[in-house]
Amino acid sequence: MIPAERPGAPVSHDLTTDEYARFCDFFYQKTGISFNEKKAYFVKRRLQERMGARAATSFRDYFSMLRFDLNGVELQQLVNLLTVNETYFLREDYQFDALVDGILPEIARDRRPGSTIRIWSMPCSTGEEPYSIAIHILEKWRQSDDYAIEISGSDIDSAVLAQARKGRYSERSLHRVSPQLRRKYFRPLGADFQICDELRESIDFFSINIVDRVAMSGMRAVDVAFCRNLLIYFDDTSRREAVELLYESMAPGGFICLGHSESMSRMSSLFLPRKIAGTIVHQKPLRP
Amino acid sequence: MLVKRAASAEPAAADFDEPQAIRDLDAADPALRRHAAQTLRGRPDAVDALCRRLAVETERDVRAALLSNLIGQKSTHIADLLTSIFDKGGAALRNEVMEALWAMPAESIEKMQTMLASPNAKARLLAVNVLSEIPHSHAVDLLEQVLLKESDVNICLAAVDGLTHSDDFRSVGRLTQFAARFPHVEQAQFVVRSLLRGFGDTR
Ligand SMILES: C[S@@+](CC[C@H](N)C(=O)[O-])C[C@H]1O[C@@H](n2cnc3c(N)ncnc32)[C@H](O)[C@@H]1O
Repeated sequence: MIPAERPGAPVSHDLTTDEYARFCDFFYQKTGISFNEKKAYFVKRRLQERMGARAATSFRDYFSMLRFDLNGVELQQLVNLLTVNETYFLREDYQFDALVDGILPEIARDRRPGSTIRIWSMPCSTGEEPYSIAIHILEKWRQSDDYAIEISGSDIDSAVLAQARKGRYSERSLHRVSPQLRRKYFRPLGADFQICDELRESIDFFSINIVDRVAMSGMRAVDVAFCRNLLIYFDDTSRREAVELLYESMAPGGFICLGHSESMSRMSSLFLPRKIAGTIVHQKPLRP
Repeated sequence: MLVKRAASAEPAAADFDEPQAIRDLDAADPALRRHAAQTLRGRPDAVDALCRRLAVETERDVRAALLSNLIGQKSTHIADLLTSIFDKGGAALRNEVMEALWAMPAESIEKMQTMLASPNAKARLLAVNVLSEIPHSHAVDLLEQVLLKESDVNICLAAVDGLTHSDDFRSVGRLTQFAARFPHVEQAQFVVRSLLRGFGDTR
């Protein structure tokens, strides 16, 4: 069993190259995220922090705790420390334009009014992406009242999901949001901004690891998935695996939007590239 | 109108039966075959069956699941199996095998070296195409050897293509040796002449 947490200072145990490599291997197997030598300082610092908190006297002790920690609490702590969560409102919003100008109208064409359209922000980090999607749809899609639009946000990092559910953001996070939208969807809270309850209560946030096949099988029939700025942290093998599982989660004819520096090449040939409102998105064929 | 997703029950892992999953690779229902390919991840005992299925599988999405399983497990044995099936299907299978071999460069390179000596020209061409995408100086050495020894000019031209895209390629001499081996093949002369002109004195 892992000893109780102590608010410890980082211990000064320095990891050997071999220990570092073993840790990276383990973390990669669990999350798909691969660290190279350049990241060694960043990773080692965080590992030392956790070793201090768990009062582990050596890397060996800590590593065996980590591997035999059946409920995954310690791994979750590490995931929360080691993931890059940078995000902000209206990031790469040309894709949200493509969503309301092309993707949603195309999906709606074959769907009866009143039926569900399912959108998934995966990964969503602290929630700015799914909230931006919601705002964009409410503001710019004229048919938004005709459909039941279900927006979910997921991430592997439990701490960012807690923040997303809370919906409290700093000025920095809102730098691309106009004063008019701020007034409409946020209320000031000290120096920060609180997202309005209507949005907060309509988005479902849940934790998921994109390379976990069983967990991913819980999400099906997704019409539009935003999978942006995650695959850049993966190597080719985990990218392939992630896209393979995402494919399964998509409804036939569903669309995936990737980040601007990400493409499907060498990940999957299963999706059809489509140019919609000037941006490339990836569509699951209606029939395999 | 925004609606909140109804939370669904946490999916649970089903009991895993490896022999059954291996049998499912040949099931009539493609969804079952794809599922089997996915659940057999990280199972080295299944790789022979996975490759055997890959050779005859007609559904693209099942092939994709088979391939990402094999790429995830990468081994020299898998590289061997893949090279043994590359010409059992059409162009799609050939390209997929090539992609998989690119994804496991360390495991493939030795096999590619053996294939360069194969009497089968298609196998030699596959080896050249795979080596062309492997960012390793040994791959460059092997491609340079192709320019000196390969009897099929088209395979040599594929090697030239690979070499000129590689950062490690430094030997203009190899190009001129290749051109000298095929003095009457206009395309070889043309390609080498234009490359040499392009390089100028920079190499
Ligand atoms: C840079 S953020 C991207 C947020 C948003 N999509 C955007 O583009 O602004 C990357 C997120 O990926 C999450 N992540 C990393 N590995 C993951 C995995 N295996 N499964 C799910 N999420 C993961 C991280 O926790 C992090 O919050």
